[in-house]
Amino acid sequence: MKKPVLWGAAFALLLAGVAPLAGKTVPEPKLGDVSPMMRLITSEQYVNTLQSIFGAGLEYRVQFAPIQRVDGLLAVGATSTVMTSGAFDQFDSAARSIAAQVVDARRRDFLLPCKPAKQNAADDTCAGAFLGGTGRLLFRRSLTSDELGAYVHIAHDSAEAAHDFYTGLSNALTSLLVAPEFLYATQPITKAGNELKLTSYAKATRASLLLWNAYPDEDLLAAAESGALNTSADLARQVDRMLNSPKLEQGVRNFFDDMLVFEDFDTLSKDGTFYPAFTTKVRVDAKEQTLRTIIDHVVSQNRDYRDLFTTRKTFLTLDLGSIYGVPVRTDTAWTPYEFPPDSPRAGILTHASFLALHSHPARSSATRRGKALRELFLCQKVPPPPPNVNFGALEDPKSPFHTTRERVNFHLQNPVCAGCHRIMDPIGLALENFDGAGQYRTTEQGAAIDASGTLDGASFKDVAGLSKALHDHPQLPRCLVRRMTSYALGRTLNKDDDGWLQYADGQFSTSGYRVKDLLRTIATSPSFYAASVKADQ
Amino acid sequence: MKNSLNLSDVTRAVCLPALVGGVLLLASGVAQAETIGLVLTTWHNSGTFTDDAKECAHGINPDARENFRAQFKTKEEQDEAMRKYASAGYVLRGPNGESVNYSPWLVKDTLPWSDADAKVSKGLNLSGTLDGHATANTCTHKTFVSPEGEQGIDNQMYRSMGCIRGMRPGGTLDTFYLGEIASKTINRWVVEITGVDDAANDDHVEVTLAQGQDKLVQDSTGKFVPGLTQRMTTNKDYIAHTTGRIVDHVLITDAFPVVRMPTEQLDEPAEWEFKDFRLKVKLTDTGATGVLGGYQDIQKFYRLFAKVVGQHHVSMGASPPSAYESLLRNADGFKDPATGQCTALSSAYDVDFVRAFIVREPDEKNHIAAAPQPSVKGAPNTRLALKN
Amino acid sequence: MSGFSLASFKLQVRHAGVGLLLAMTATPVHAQLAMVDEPRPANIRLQTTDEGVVFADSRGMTLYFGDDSKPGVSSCTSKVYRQGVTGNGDLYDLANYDRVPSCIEKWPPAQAGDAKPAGPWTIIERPDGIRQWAYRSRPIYTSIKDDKPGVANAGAISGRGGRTRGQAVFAPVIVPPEVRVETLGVSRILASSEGRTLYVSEKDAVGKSACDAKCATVWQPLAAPAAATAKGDWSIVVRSDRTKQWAFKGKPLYTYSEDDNAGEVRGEANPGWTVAMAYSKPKLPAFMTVQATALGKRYADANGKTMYYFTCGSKLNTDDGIERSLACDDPGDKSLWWTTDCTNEKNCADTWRPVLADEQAKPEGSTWTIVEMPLPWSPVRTLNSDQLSIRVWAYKGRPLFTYKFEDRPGMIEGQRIGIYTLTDWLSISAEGEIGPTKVKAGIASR
Repeated sequence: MKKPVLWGAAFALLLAGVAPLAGKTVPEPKLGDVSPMMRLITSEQYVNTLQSIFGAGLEYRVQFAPIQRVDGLLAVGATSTVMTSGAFDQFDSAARSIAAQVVDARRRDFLLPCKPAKQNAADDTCAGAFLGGTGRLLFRRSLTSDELGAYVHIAHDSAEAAHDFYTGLSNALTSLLVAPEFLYATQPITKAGNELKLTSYAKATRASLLLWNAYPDEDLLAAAESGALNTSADLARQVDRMLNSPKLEQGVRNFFDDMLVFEDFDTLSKDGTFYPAFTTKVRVDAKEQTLRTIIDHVVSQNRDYRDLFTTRKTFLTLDLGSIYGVPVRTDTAWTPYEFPPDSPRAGILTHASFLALHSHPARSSATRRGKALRELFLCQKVPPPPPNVNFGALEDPKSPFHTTRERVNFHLQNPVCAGCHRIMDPIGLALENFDGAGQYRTTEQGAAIDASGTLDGASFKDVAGLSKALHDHPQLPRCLVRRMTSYALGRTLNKDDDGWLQYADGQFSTSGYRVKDLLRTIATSPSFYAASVKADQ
Repeated sequence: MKNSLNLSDVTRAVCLPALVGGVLLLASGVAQAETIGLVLTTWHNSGTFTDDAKECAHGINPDARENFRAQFKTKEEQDEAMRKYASAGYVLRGPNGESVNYSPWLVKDTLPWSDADAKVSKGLNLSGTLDGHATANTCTHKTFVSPEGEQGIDNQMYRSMGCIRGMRPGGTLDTFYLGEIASKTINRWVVEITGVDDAANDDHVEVTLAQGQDKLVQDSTGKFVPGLTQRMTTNKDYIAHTTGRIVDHVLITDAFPVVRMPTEQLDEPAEWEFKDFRLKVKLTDTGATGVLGGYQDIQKFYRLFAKVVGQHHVSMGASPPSAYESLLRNADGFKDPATGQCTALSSAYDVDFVRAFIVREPDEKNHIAAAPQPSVKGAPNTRLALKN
Repeated sequence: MSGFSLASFKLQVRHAGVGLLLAMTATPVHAQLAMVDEPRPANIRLQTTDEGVVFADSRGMTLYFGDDSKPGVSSCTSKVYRQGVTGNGDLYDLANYDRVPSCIEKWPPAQAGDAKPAGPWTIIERPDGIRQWAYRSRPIYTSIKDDKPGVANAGAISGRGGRTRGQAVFAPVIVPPEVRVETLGVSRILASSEGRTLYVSEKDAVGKSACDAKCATVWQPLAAPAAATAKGDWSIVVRSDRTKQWAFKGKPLYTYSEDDNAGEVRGEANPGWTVAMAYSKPKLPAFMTVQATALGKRYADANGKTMYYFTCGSKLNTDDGIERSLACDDPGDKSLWWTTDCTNEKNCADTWRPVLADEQAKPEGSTWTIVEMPLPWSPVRTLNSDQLSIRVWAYKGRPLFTYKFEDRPGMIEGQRIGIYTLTDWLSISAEGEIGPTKVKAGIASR
């Protein structure tokens, strides 16, 4: 499995310095638009951030309004979300609940840095210590003295009114938790000479949202404060700390969950008559299986991203065993599993998640699977169908066609349809050995399944061949680079970004297509922290 | 705990059988002994049960309350009995207030009792006779004909239980037990058939019956999902082995000398115990349907009955003295050498199974004398015909 | 096993009048967890028991919650009920009702006397004139099953349908929000807030974790959040990756990746790792064994026979005027409840065989105690001074028996023999028997 050339290159890079940037001679291209953006905090970021501040012992009943997907990513939608009063109510009730738990008698001694002089009165010193420390983590910068004064004032007045220090503190904490400075990741910019760039704090936030899907922790904030994020070596050191942290998993998970459009699992339903084994638990487990496989592959094992499409290693539960037709170790909920060398199961395309998500409730769909492969993994946009399409021939139960291949052949005969379907159907047809629930089959209505096809010039005769063709497809890694960059920036990419993207492509390739290295490339790029102001701003 | 599976062992172990299965999938007709695994999903008492209880001469049997009122005829006598013995639900009817549930021999019920009697019952020929005549080890009894026309079916348990309301299809125990099979792993039965050269006809297979350890899964319509994993217990007490054959897709085992399985019925833990136990089920691609049964010792069975049925004797509709007497009367197997009395009743239960991968956990204490270990450690595959 | 007879036992029969009361003073258990500092009336004490520190009255007798459903209102009165109700809802007259004790005879209300309320302790002015303590609005009682301080014999024994009897009032302990104290069999262990068992490693020096990044994927450090403040025995260890981890008495805490649910202790099998105990586990008498039964691990005698105790299964007290509390399992209670399951006294003595204690045997704390039972034995027969008696092992004061019809180790057929919801024979979960248990050779202890 080891490719000596790539390992050597990676080793050389490690010796040369942490960042692949070190020692290079060509200046890194710049990204296009680097206007500052405001990003509304998501439910996951909220919980991740507050859990790291107040711990897993609190209940975080948090369900904020869903974010719209824009240009393929929720992360892009998060930068254009509007706050409504209904949405604000959710933030408010979450904030009150958490604040009440923090000051509760059984917990306060473990979560507050001090005790008030008298419990039945205000204590500005103690309140200030707590609100200042917490506010700093929530706002990702130290509070100004005016800001801190305002929150201490809230605590003071309500403590006096209620004759209880902790009531006052709870009210002040609630206010912090609904402040726009917390709920929005703004990107304050500063001028350094003639250049505009993000402040250290903004850099810290950007990096930790990308890598941890959470706000910066104390160490990162301290580095921001000390100016450490302003030198590339120190920045690289912090980025590496974050890449080696257990919290990287939650960041990478969030990225792939977004990229693979996994929120569709929430509305996925299969016809129980056709797929009785596809239970609610299987639906939940199928999503987790793929995310777990990805995390293990790209984070824990730090392997070549492309091998996700050919690896026989995954994780299974007892329930998934019925879909994959294999016995599974059952004394723990999840167990690592490796399919044997000649198994048709290898790579994400053969996961129940991909196969079931891109199918109909009662049958497979070559078109949907082909479209998904193109759009999710190759970043190739497939135009929508024309409005007057007649699906009759496809849905006809009396159709003389037995297999999907025969049925979709219709698309390819009709010149109106062929243009688009030619780029989708042949791919999806290679996956026809897997039904709409992801279960393996060799025949369809008695007829043998033919899984041959081509993918942009590469021919294959079965799903293993398709997986390899995808693995080898030059657009596969490039698509990941673009997705991740768009995710990191929170915006759609355009031509002006091409220079930087090609640079990132080169870095990704040199690293052996390692996702952690791609993350490092982005998170240590000066472009990622650059800023500009539009003419009308 | 020392026996916990090593991760790499298991993934290797489960890989290889999957390979075996994979080979079978790709190349049909390969002459390679395979394993069929089954897990029990449903259980009903076998017999004939008609809507108007024609099989019961006096109709459905009177329950404990009715017998209590027959024993203490006037309201005054009833109140006095209740007061004297703090009668809780009509069981403290013994001469000194003893519970007839745990001491059914103390009182004779006066209301007429019906043993179930019909021509037809699913079941097995356990005695080896067609007409139920007495043999060295069995006592004279009437046999049944199976729905398929097989003569000599022995099912004396049906006679004693068949007219008790709760034991009939849809009755309290019948209904609850189905749910408890689905939901409690203490009720998990697995069958592992090894050495299968031909799943349609094979004159010699090995059969292991054991307690399983994993959950069952039902789909949205309540049907059990085949193809899941079941670990076999490592407790030797709950593993039994015999040989058998397959005839036209029907597995017919030889006798298991003793089968014991833990059970929990209406939240009461107990133990099934059968002697000369047999299993006869029709194998399909996704499971099996048929009967199992054997001889159940009266006392051992009655202790289960007392806990499960006797505790709930109003909702179950059973009066313990009559039921116990009926068991004694209908015993047809395992003569006591001293008295010549039969001490056990033949029984039969309608059962269904779905296919499962049976996994044996490595355990050096788990030695089963006659069972051949599968050649591939872990889970020999079952072949699932996958429908599209 | 056939032919049980009195003579077949090596009995140490004694005259009760001469014998010592063998349920000795419970050895105090060192309280390992510090108590929350909250206001407490002068005549409410803290008292150590085997399971932890409980609130006790001025005599040191353990205090309990009842089954009261309305805050501040006690439904345990001096009323003597005339009728009971079966599981089917049938009413029946209680026999010999002059012998049926009232609720407060079994569960004397904890009396406040002239004391004043303090903090969470308030006073209920009962209609019968007794001033009863309530803790956080729940009425408080003592139990006649407790004969001295430091025992909690009446605590939370679950009967049929999940109904519980009195629950001992544990004094709240100081634990971080990420930690809970959980009961596992006879053990009280530390668990995460989700209930997952916590462990410590012998490789960890005080205040330092030896579990590196690779180890941490299997043994997951119990994370202390950014705002975490150390307090008392709870300290914070900074790991090499600068994340923070909770430690108790300096020992870093971990969960085990293969424990999926609360109550699992799979990590115990790994050498060098032990479950983090909130209190010392009561020592198991040397002759007792642990058997794997179909219901899980159970305590058994030297031959592997499951041990059972007899208990009343129903609710403590009631609001609706119907007696559901059956007084059935204390000496002096009506013997009919004991004999209904086994015909008569003679047959019962044959069916349920006491786990005898040698002359030299000593109790282990207040969990495994020794009681004297009169002959012929019965858990409800009062011991008179001129009677012959035997010494019997007991679980929290309840004499232990094996069931005649269990002829192999590890059976559970005796479990839940009883009458409706009123009486029960129960075995004892050994899931909390953590650490090495000496087991007699030849017995399958799994």
